[in-house]
Amino acid sequence: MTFEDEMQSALDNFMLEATELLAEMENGLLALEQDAADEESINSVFRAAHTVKGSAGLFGLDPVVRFTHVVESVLDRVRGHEVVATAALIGVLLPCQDHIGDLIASIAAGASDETAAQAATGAALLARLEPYLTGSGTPVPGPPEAEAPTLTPDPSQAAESSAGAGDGAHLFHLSLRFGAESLRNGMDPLSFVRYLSTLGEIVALTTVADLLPEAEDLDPEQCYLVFQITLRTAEAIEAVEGVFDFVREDSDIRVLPVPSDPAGFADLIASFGAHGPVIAETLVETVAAAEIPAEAPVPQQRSADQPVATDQPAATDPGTAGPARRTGDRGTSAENQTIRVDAGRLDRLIDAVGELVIAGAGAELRASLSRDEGLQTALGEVMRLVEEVRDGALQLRMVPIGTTFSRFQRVVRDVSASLGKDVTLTVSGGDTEVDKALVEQIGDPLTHLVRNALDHGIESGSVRTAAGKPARGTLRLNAFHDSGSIVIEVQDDGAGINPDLVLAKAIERGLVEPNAVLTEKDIYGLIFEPGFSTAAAVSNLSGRGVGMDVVKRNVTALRGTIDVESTAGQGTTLRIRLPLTLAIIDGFLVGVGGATFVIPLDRVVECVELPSESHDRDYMGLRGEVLSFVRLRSLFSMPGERPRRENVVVVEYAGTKTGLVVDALKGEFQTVIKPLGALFGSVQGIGGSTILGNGDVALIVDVPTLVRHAQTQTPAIASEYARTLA
Amino acid sequence: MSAVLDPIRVDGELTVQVAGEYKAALLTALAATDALVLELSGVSELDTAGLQLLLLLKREAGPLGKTVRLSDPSKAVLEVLDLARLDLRLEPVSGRPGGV
Repeated sequence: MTFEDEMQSALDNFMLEATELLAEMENGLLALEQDAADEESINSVFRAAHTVKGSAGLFGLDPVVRFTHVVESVLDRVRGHEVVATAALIGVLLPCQDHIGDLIASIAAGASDETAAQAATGAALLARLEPYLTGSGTPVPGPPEAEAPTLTPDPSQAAESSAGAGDGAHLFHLSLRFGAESLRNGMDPLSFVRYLSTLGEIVALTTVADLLPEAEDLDPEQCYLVFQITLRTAEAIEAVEGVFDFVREDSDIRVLPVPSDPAGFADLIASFGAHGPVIAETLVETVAAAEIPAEAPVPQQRSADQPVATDQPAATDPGTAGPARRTGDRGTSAENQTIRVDAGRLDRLIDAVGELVIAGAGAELRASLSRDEGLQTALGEVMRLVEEVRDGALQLRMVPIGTTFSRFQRVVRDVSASLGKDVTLTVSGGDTEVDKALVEQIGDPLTHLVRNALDHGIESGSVRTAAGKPARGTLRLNAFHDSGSIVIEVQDDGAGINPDLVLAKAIERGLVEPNAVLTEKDIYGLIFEPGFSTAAAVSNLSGRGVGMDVVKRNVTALRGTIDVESTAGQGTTLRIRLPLTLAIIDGFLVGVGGATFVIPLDRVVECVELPSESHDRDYMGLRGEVLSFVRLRSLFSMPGERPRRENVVVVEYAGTKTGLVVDALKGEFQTVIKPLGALFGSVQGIGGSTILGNGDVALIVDVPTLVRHAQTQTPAIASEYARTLA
Repeated sequence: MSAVLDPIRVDGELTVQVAGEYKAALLTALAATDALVLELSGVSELDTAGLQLLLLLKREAGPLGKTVRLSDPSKAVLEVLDLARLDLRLEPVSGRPGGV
C-alpha cells in the first residue's frame, strides 16, 4: 500500500469506529432520558465520548478533540454525580453528539478544518454546556469540588482508575521515542503531544534533536526526534499510557510517575546510550517541576558503558499493517466478541465458496457416473461439508434488522417533538436477520414511512382524546421471515387512510378518471403515484408528494413489494416484502423443452403430475382449490412438442399458490446464483442463472413474478372452475 | 564567499509527504549562502518530519557559522513551534510553558 492508501485506510477505520461510538452515545443518551440514574448508560455515554476524543486526537483532528473534550468534561461530572442528567442536559447533549458526527463526516469527505458554520454551531453548543461545567445544573449534594489540582503524586495510587476532577494531580515524565517508521506509518508524534495537552498541563517539553544522523545519512521520512515531557494531569497512569497503545510496539514510550523508583529513570537514561546526559537533563527539569524536597531520589546520571537491562513495555497490540486497526470488544457493553471484517473480503470469500459449490457438484456428477461407491460416499461427505461452509459464509453477511430499527428511536423522538405529538415507538422482530446490503438500502424508505406515519398517520393529542383514543400514539416496527421473504411492517394507530379523500385527490390530480370504479386496494395503491399527497398543509417533513412513490421505487428496485392495509379511524399498516436473495440457494431442477430451469426450493410446496383433464386448461383442482398454471414452455417460448406427460410444480409466494407446468422433474440441486448481465435486466420471470455440474447453463425462475402474473388470470379462471363443479 | 539568496518560500505542506524533496533542496540552498531565510507564510501544515528538516538545517548551519532564519511563519508553523517549545531560531523556549 502506498503511504496515502495506508493513511486513508486508517482514517476510514476511524470513521467507522467513530460512527459506532456516536450511535452508542446516542442510545445511551436516549436511555438516560427515560432514567437519569441509569449508571450503565452514563458510563457508556462517557466512554463513547472519551474514546472518540482519543481516537480523533491520534489523527490530529483538532476541532473534534476540542469540542468533544468539553462534552467529555460535562459527562465526567455526570459520572461523578456532580451533575444530574436532566432532560434539559440531554437536550443539549444530543445536538452535541450530532455536531461531533457532523465534524467527523466532513473530515471523511476531505475537509481539513471545520467550516465557519460548524465553528458557529460548536460555539453555540459549548455556550449551552457552560452552566454544566461549573457546578450548577442540579448538583447532588456531596463534598465540595477541589478547585486547584493539588500536587499529590502517589505511585501506589497510580494503579487506580481515574475518578475525574478533584482527585489531585499526578505528575509524569514521558519519554517519547517513536519508531523509525512511525512517520511513514502515518503517526505524527506532534499529534500525540497535542493530545497530551488536553489531558492536563504540559509543564515542560524538550524537543531532542540529538539523534539526527549526519545529513547525508538522514532519511527525511524517518523519525529521529525525541520528546521529553513533564505532564501534570488528573488522569491515572493507565490513561496516559493508553494514549500510545497504537504505537507502543514500534516505539519506546515511557511514562514514569514522579516521584518513583529511580530505576525507571536510570533505565530511561541508559536506553539512550551516548545521548543519555541530554535525557537526564530533562529529567532533572521534571523533578524540579515536582517541587519535591531534596531527600527524594534524584536520578543519577549513568555513563554510557554501564549497561542496564531495560524492560521494553509489553506490547499490548499485535502489530499489523495500519496504525489504527482495532479488533476485539468494543467496550464492556458488547456481550459477544465481534470482529470487523472488510466487506470486499467477505464478498470474495462468498464468491470462492460459490465456485467451490459448483466444482463440488461437478465432481459429484462424475462420481455418480463412475461405479465407484467408495468415491461416491467420500464425495457425499465432502458435499455435506461444503454445504456447511456455504451456510456459514452466507450467515456472515446477515445482520439483525434490530440495529436499523433502534436508529428510529431518535427519529421518532425528534420528529414527534417537533410536531408536538406524543408518540412511542415499539419494535418487534429485531433479531430477524437480513443481508447487510439490504439493510443499508432499506433505511431511507423506512425513514420516510416512519416520518409519514408521524406526520399524517397519527393524530394530535387532542384529536385522539376526542376520538376516545389514548393521547399517546403508538408506532410499531415489525419484521419477520415468511417463506423466503423478509417482511417489514410500519404500523401506526392513527387515523387510517380515508379512501374517499384519496380518490377525490387522485381525480383532482388527473390520476384516475372521475367515474372509474376502483377497489379499496386500488385506491390505497394510488398513494404511491408520483405527485400524490393529500396533506392539506405541506409540512417540511413530508407531504411534498415526492415521498411515497420514491419509497415504492426503492422497494421495487430491491425486487420487493409494498402493500397498504388501513382501517379508517384505527390505523394503517405498510408492509414491505423483500426477497431474501442469497447468493447460493437450494434449487429444484426441472426440464422444459430440452433446457433446464431452476426453481428455488423454498418456494416449492409439492409436485404433482398434470392431470389429463387439465391438459389444455389453465388450471386444475388441487384438493378442492383452484390452482392456476403458468406453462413455462409457452411462457419462455421453448421449441418442440409438448411431451405426453407433464408435471406441475406447485409454488407459493405471499400466501398464493401457483402451478408451474414443466416437462420433467430432475431433483434437488445446490444452486450458485450468477446474476444475469445488464442486457437481460428487463427480462421478466428470470432471476439469475447458474452452471450445472455438466457445464450447462440453467436459468433460475423468479417465482414472485410468475405468481403475480398468474394471479391476474385467477378471477376468470375461478369462475370457470366453479361452473365446472356445478 | 557566498551569495545572498532570496528567501526560500515554502508553500503548502511541509510534511513527511514532501520531506524527501525538501531535504535536498534546502541543503543545497544552505550550501549556497551564509544566511538562509525561509519564508513560511504559505505553510499550510508542518509535521514532525517537517520540523525535523528545519532542525537539521539549523544543525548543519551552526558549525559553519551560518544562520537559518524562519521568516513570517504561518499559523501552522507557529502552532508547531509552540507545541515543541521552540522559538523562531529553533532554540528551546525558556520560561513558562505556553508562553511566547
